[in-house]
This record gives sequence, C-alpha cells and structure tokens, in this order.
Amino acid sequence: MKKQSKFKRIIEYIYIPLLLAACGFGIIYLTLKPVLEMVSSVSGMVITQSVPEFKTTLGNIYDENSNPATEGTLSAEDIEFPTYETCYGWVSCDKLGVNAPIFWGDSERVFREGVGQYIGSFLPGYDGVILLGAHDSMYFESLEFVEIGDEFVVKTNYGIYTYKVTKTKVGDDKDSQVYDELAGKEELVMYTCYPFGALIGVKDQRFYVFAEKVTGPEVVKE
Amino acid sequence: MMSEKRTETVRHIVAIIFSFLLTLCLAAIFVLIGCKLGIFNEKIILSQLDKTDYSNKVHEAISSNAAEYMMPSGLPESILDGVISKADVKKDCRNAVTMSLKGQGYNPNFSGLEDRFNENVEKYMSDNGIVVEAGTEDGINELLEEIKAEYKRCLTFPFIKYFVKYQSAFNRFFIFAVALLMALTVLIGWMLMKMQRWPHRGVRYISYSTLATAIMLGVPVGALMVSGVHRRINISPEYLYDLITGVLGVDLIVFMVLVFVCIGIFVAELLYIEKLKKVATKLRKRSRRRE
Repeated sequence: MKKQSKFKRIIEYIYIPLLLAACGFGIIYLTLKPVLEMVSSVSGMVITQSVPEFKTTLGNIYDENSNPATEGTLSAEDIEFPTYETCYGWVSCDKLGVNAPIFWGDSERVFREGVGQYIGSFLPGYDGVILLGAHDSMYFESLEFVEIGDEFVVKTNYGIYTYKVTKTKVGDDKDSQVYDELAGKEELVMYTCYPFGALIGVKDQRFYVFAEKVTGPEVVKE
Repeated sequence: MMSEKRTETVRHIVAIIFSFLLTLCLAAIFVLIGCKLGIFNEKIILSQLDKTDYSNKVHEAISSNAAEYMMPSGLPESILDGVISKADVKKDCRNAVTMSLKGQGYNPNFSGLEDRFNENVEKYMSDNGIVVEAGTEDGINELLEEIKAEYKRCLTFPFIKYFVKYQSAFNRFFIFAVALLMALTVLIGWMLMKMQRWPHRGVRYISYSTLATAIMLGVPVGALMVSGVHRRINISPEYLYDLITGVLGVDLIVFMVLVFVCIGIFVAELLYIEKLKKVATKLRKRSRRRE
C-alpha cells in the first residue's frame, strides 16, 4: 500500500509538472500567435542556415591546368559562372609585362589582389564588353606604354581569348559614356587611373584601352 | 464516503488550477530576472569586448580599410605605418561603447592620428623629392578625412541604440512587474496552503509549479543552446559578429543558471515536504492516541 502510494507520488511529480508546462506553452503560443508569422519572417532574414564564414582570402575557380578551347563554340551550360570576388581567369601581355588574375567584381579588396571586372559587363566569349580595371600603381602600371596593335591574352577555364588593341582614350573618372556597353560586339576594355604615377588630388581621370577580339571560342546559349 | 471523495477531487482540480497560475507567475518572474541579469545587462557587453578581442579586430579592420583608401592615391601603404595606434583604438572602442550605452555619442580625438599621418606624408615627400602641389595637398587632406571617417565608422556599434532604448523601457516597468508578480505568487502560495488539510500537501502543489517553471524555462533555452541558433546570426563584419554572438551566448548561460536555481528550489521544497510530512505523521499519531 505504502509502495503504491510512493509510486503514485512519483508519477504525479512527472505528469503534473509536464501538464502544467504544456499548458503554459499553449497559453504563450495562443498569446503570441498573431505576431508569430511576422517574427518568423524577420528571423528568416536575420538567421542563416549555417554559421556565417568570414573569408579573409578571395575565392578562386580558375584552374591553370584546365584544357581550355582556343576556337569553336561552347555551351553556356558547361561554363561555371564566378561568384562575386572570385578569380575566374588570367590576363597577360608579354610585351608590357602585364600578368594578373581576373576577379569577378571590382571592390577595393579585389584591386589589392588583381584585376577587377565590372559585374555589369560580359565574360569572354559572350559577345559583349569585358570591362577590367586595376590601379595604375599595381597591376596596370605598364598600360602607360601600350600601343595600337598590342595583344592581350585572357585565359579562363573554358577558353583562351586574344584581343588586339585598337585605340586608347583618356576620360573623366565620372564619365559613364566612354565605352558602349551595348555595342553588340566583343571588346576588351581596360582602364586605370590617370595621369600615371600622379598623386591623389590630380588623379581624377581614367586611361582606357580598347581591344577587339581576335581569337577564342564563342559561348552559345541553348 | 462518495461526497468526501468528490470533495477531494474538486480540491485537487482547484489546486492544480492554482498551481498553473503559480507556474505562470514564477515563469514570468524568472524571465524578467533573466532579462535583467542577461539580455539588458550592459556589463556583459563590456566584458565581451575583452573576451572577443574586439578592439584588436577593429584595429585590423580600420588598418585594412585605410590601406584600401591608399591604393588609388598614388601614396604607398607604408605611409600608414604607426598612424592607427592599437592603444588608441582600444581606448576609443571602450569609450564608444560606454558612451553609447549612456545614450550619448562619442567623437574620438584624431589629433594624434593626424600628426602621425602628416609626418609620414612629409617624410615620404621629402625622401622622394616630391613637390606638393595645391591639388595634391587637397587630395591628401581628403584622404585623411576618409581615413578618419572610416575609423569612426568602424567604432560605431549599430545595435546599441536599440539596446539602450529597450533597456530603459524594460527598467521602467521591471520593479513594478516583479513586485506585482511576487505578490501574486505569495497570494497563490498561501491559498494553496490554506486549501489543504496538511501543509505538506500545499507545498507539494507549489513544488509542481516550481518544476513546471524549470521545464518551461529549460526547454527553450536548452533548445537554443543545442541548436546554436545564436551563432547563425547574419551580422558583419566579423568583429561585430563575434561580439554579438558572445553576448548572446552569455545571456543563454544566465537563463540556464536560473533554470538550475529553479531546480534547486524544487529540491529544497521536496526536503521541506518530507520534514512537514514527519511533523504531520507525529500530529496524527498524537491525535489518534487521544481518541
């Protein structure tokens, strides 16, 4: 009898607090139900699926050992599109000694590591303007000595492209009409600060180099 | 016999209802205390500044961002050597957070930074035989202002103004709310004791409420700690993320400590129930002897 009573007490110490807690959670749920959806949508914006990663190094999808095509056509579906601040290719000019990685994006972080591409422009092979920029004190230092007819090579995982310089131009740093984004032909446009070697305060212009595509595979969308 | 059993059942149901109300009161009291000691406790924020190495990370961010401003200027990054002092950043970080917690703004003293920067620029110019033109001097001043603005931006703790606003609202009603809830708790506890023939039965219903409160607090806090949701907050830069997640981690620990306090109170109540039961048994035996 005593044992039964003790057992009953123990069971009561389990189910009664659980029942009280469950009723408490129920009351809280009913009270907060009108704002639950709003809280859930706000928390969806603030809370991510996984712990955020703070990368100190920029991304890289460029593989110098890949076997890129030099001509023909390629399917756009087979090409890996780079994410922001990711290296996807290499630009070089033997004559001028230009030899730099190309990053998708043109942030200051990118300019420290290589040549940055404006993300509103096209990748090589896509029949559009490829706009690359770098500081005149760093990777585009030797653009000062570029001449008409010089050749630049852009290597990516999918293709090797050659561009021949057709003209150069000096423009205001705020001038957005210097190049035609919708020209309808593939053109490599490189720019850097101007005058070369000048210090801050007088460097309010940009030096543009325009180069037309000579060779390289064409990317087609199916 | 039947009516006695019915009376007993009705008494038990009423006692459970009072227990439930007591559970809600106790849970509310513990949540308010947890918020006071945890979420709205500015000492936790100040202690996490050192624990997360906040000022050194801010110094790295300011130095890195300032170097990026140097790149298009034509001046070398070495001009920034010694300009942004770690000691100054540490002092300014603490002052910025402390003043923000008081609801005031903070303007760092840039005289040391300006002097060091201008000294480095002059040395570079004279070492390289560069003549400073009027345009260059304006450009250098503009560059210095950008570096100062970046320094001030990195010191800014964006969430603190919301913290101060909600903390002051919370403090206004905290004492009143806790006092009211304590009064209700005492009243309900007294009624539970008075309803029962034996005091240990009244304390038993109070112990059910205490354990239910521990469950109500412990389950969500435990779930948050295990899931690590406080580490999946989308905040940048990294130094701010480390600080905020550090603060939230400590807040969860504060609530978990309160859960254990609640469990401790429950255990004390169990011991008290045993003591009261012994007293009740003695009284029962004495009254039977008299009969």
